[in-house]
Amino acid sequence: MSTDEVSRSKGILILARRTGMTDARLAAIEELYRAQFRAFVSVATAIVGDADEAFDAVQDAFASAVRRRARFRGDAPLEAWLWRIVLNSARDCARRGRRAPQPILDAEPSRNGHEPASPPTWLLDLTERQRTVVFLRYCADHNYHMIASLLGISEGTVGATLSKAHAALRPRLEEERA
Amino acid sequence: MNDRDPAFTGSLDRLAAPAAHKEPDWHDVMARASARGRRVAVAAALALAAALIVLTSALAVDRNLWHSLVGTSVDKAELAKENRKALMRIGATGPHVDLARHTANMARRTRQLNKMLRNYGDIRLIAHREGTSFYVIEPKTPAGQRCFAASRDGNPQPFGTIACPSKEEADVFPSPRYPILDISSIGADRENPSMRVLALKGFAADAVKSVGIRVGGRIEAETPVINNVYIRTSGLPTAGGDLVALDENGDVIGCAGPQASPSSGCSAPRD
Repeated sequence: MSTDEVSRSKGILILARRTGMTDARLAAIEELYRAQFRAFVSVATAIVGDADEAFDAVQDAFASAVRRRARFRGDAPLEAWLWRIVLNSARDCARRGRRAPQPILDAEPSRNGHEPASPPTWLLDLTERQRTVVFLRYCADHNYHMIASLLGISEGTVGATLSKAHAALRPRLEEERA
Repeated sequence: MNDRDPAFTGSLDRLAAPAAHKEPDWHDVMARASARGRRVAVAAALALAAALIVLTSALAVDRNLWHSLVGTSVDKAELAKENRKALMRIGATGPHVDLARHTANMARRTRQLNKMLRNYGDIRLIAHREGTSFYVIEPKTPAGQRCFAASRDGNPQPFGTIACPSKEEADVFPSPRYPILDISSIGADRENPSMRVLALKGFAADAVKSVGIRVGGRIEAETPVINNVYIRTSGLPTAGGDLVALDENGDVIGCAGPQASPSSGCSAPRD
């Protein structure tokens, strides 16, 4: 084991001793992290605009959740609590970097020529809330109730936001089909 | 277009593609949590120390740990505005109250605040020593958290220093394992760059009769515990050391600090 690894392990051990790492809540956080990692990073990418920064935001969010898990009161699902932390972390990251999702103009055809290899430009047509709702709905597979709870809006607003997102995307997708 | 629109879902998949290359790294999460914890600990040490003293002998502490911690009830209506805000943020089980929403009518706002404060914890003034008031903030419900605060006279900061031992811990102050909740100020200055106690203060269980700082085997700046609190702001060692809790026989029953070890008469927290 290298010196770095030793000091890292020591740090984790200290943290574990301080916080009582063997608790069930920590195990539940880790389980959700592993189970929904892709969804967390995808949604964070929609907000931050960069997969690497989104990964950082997710890692920081879970580090924060580990530290703050004693504050979780259990009056809402742990999953919802974690999602809120991830969303806030991604928004903070986006604000710090002032990054909007990067436009990939004139998407290049992939090698097989069937579809563009790069992310589509339609992302720019959506507001941050629309992007977040779209990704929470389709990447994280959350229902309207969950999305409404995470974003602090009504289910009706979720539906309306998705509807507006669809309306904004329709011309782009038809263009892409053509 | 609908949820199943292949062009739509295909676009989403492409957008999420960079994220698909990322692999979960729980070890990294824990390392970040640890690193952040260390940074917070260092920062906190510069402003205050919230170190819980470790007990070496559970038998040395009276079973009745908290009988004299009664104090005087503080009328929340007389609190300064900043203290009201602070009270709402701590020791409470309800949601945080945004005071900015209550700007319309000052008199009405005061009435509303007083009404809201009834839902939060009770404050008790435990002692006032050397220009510092020591408070205990009791939770309104069993799910709440007991907090301890100290504030110097004239300090514009609400409650000055606040410590809220986590209820998640199996054992919290006051207990045989943690007979003392120390909130001393620790720091250094240009003349003397070594980290040391600048102001010794905190709360103690009944069995603790005095608190001192052990430097090189000698106990210095021994300070009596009166009304479950201790404070000393002068005559403190110019070098860092362990904080030790002493019983009525002068025996060390708890200690904390970098040199705390069984060989020095102290032990790490028992798991």
